[in-house]
Amino acid sequence: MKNSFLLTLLAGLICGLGPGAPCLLANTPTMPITPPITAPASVISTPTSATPAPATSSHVTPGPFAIDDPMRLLVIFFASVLTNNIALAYFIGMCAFLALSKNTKVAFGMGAAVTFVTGLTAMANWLLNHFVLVPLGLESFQFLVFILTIATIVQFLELFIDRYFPPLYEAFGIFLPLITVNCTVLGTSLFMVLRQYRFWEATVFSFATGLGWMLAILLLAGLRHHLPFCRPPRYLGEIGTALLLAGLMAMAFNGFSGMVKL
Amino acid sequence: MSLTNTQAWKVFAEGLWKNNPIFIMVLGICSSLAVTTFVKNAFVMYLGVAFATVFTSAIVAAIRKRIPATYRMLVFMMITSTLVIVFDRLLKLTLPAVSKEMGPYVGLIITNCIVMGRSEAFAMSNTPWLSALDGLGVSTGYGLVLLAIAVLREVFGMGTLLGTPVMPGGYQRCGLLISAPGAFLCLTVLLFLANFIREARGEGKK
Repeated sequence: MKNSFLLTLLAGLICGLGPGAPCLLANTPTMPITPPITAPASVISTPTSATPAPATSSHVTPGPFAIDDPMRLLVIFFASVLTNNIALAYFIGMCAFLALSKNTKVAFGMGAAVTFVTGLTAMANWLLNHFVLVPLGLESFQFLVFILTIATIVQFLELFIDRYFPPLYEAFGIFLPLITVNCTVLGTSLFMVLRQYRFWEATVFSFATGLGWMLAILLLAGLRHHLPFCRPPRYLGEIGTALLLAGLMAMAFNGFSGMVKL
Repeated sequence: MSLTNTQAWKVFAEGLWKNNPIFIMVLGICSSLAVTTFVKNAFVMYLGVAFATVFTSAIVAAIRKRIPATYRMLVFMMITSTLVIVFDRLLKLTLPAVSKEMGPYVGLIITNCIVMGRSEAFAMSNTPWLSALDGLGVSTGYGLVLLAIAVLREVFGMGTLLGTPVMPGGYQRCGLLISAPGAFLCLTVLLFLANFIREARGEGKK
C-alpha cells in the first residue's frame, strides 16, 4: 500500500509539473468507477457532514498542545493533501483556483503564498479561539475575529517580506493582498474549529491544506498549459474548459479516497 | 412596461443575466459547487448571500464618502462578517440541521467574491437604494444558477426534489452527480449552455 501510494503521488506530481500533463487526462476516465454505489454514505451527504465527528479520544483528554498520537498527524496530513483536497473535494478557493491557473509559475507563487498564510493564520486563529474567544464565550464572533486576524497577518507579512526579503517579495508580493479574500485561508480556520482539532493537529492540517491547494492549482496549471494543442468546444470558453479539467482532476483525486480516513 | 423601463429595474435585471456573477464574472464558484447537493441548502445559501450582498452594498453606499480608500477592503469585510454572523445565528436558531450541514460554507459567505465585488464595483459610486437593488439582482442571478445546479444534482443524483421522491420507481441514482466531480461537470454544462444561448441571441463576443 505504501509503495502504491508513493507511486501515485509521484505520478501526480510529474503530471502536474508539465510535460506529462496529458497522461493524467488519459488516465482519468478509468478512475471514477468507484464513487457511485460503493460509498454512498460518504458521497451522498455534503462534504462537511461526511467528515466524521472529531475523534475526541474517550480516555482522559490530554492538554491542547499534547501529541498523544503521532500517527494521527500523519493521517491528517495525507488526508488534507490528497483524499480531502480542499479545492477538489470541498470547492474552497475556487476563484483564485480558476483565475490564476493559466501558467505554472503564477500558480506556484500563489500556491506557496496560500500555504504559508493558511498555516500561519490557522495557528494564530487557533490560539485566539482557544485562549480568548472560548473562555469568554464569544464564539459567535469567530468570523469577525478570524477575518481580522487574516487581514492583519497578511498586511504584516507583506511589510515584513518587502523589508527583509525583497527577492521573495518580487516573486510572491503581488499575491499577498489577494489572499485576504481567498476562501482557502478562512475556510481552513473554520474547518479547524468545526473539527475541534488540537493545536498541532490544526497546524499540520492547515499547512497540509495549503499544500493540497497548491498541488491542485499546479496540476490544473500544468493541464491548462497544454490546452493550446487541443480544441475544446467553442462554447465552453476558457473558464468552462478549466472547470471541466478541474472536474476530471476531482475524479482522479476521488481515486485516492479510502487510502486514508480522516 | 413602465416598470421595466425604470433605472431601478435595469440595475436589478442586469445581475440576472447580462452580468450574471457566475456565468460572466466567474465569482462565487466555491459555494455554488459545495452546497448544491440539495435544493434546500442551495436556497438557504441564496438567502444568505442575498442578505449579505444587499445590506453590505447598502451600508457601503451609505458611508462611501467616509471610507478611506486604503482600508476599504477591511471595512467591507467587517461589514460583511457582521452581517454573516447575524445570518449564521438566525440560521442556527431556525434551521439547526441545515446550518450543521452547510458547515463552514455559511462563514465563507464573507469571502464570497460577489459581496466584495459588488461593494467595490457598484456601491462605492452609487446611492444606497440603487446599490441594494444591484446587490439583490446579482445575488438573485447567483441564486438562480445555484438552484439550477441543485435541481440537476438532486433530481438526477438522488431521485428526489426537496426531499420528496420524484423519479419513477427503480430509477438508478446517478451517484456521480452527487459526488465532487459531478458538481464541476454540472457547472461546466450550465456554462456551456449559457454561452451557447448568449451567442445564439447575438450578445457579447465572449
